[in-house]
Amino acid sequence: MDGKNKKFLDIFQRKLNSEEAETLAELLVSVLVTALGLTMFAAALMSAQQIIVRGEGKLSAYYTARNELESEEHGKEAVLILEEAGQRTAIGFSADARMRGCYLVELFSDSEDLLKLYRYSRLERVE
Amino acid sequence: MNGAGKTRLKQKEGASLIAALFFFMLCGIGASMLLTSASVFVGAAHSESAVNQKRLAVESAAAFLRDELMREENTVKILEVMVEDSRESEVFDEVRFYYAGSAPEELELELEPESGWQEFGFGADESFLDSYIRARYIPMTEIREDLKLAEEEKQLFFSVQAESELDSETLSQLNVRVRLFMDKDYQITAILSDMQTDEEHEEDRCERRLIVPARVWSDTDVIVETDEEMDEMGNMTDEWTITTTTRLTTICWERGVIEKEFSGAEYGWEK
Repeated sequence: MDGKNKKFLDIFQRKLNSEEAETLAELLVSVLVTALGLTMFAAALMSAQQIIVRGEGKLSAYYTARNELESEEHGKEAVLILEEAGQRTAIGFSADARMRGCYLVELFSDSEDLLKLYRYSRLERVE
Repeated sequence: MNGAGKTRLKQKEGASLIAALFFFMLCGIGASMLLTSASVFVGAAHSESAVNQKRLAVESAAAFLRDELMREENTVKILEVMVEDSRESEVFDEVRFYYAGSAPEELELELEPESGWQEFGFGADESFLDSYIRARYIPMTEIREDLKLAEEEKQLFFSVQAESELDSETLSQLNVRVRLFMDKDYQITAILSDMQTDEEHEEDRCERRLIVPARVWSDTDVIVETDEEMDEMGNMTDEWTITTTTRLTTICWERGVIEKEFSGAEYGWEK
């Protein structure tokens, strides 16, 4: 421990053991420290509140999007492509060799397309 | 706590600075706890969306595969004709594979005239069902109790292209990898995994198992023809038997089950 630290520790020890009252300067410093602590807590409280409000907005948008996905209202045609080792392949019966490995699906997404949540379900085969 | 500390706590004078410091510390701890919990809440709300997109991609692919395999068109018919001639040591055995589904008329496919079935691999390379069925089917001449079929894994990739106003756009978040297995009873097992999770975070990968049981039945028809050869005097010089065995096997797949919980160790890898 170097001399500077030892000196600081001695002052702290003396202060802790002392039975004398605080000086006016110490009292003012105490008030300042308390005020700083309160300000920090209040700022953190406000920030946390803002963060939670933003989070709730996101969650609300997410659940709205999920409901829209489940209701299947905003479907559009898309093509599902099936590949094996880089080559298009069919599952089984292939009615049209030209469209081999391509299947029509109905693609659902949230109406505003904000969350970019997608799912799809099978449509009739490409003919 | 030492004697000095106790005295300090009990005395009624001069505690302002220490109390203020303690209060400051408490405020600091409280504030950091508040901020941490709020950040965790927002983080969870944000990751919920990404996790669910993985789940939607994998479950869409699983449901698609399940529905596609159930289609009547994918009912497989295997016609095997075995001819045994008592005069010959070799047995003639022919196996032909068909899909029972009928193609739309406008495509004018050259279907089997009497049946309306489409032979495997018609007009294109084999589909994955074609090659699996060919590998799993055991002809009558090769049926043995100790016959073991090698486990064969196939890997498929599903991707989705949406037609936008300008061009087609590939939705990479819907890419899914599928590992397929078929057992000797033609039951298909597919393990579907999302392709958004990187290899360093395997624990976050969304996986589902699809098990599609198969219904298999066979009709066997045996025709025995006996013939003989006579000489000029009407004596029998030769007699032989031709046995024609026709076996028609039908395979169709039932509605599969999509499972969330399964052990990767069953398939030789850790989930």
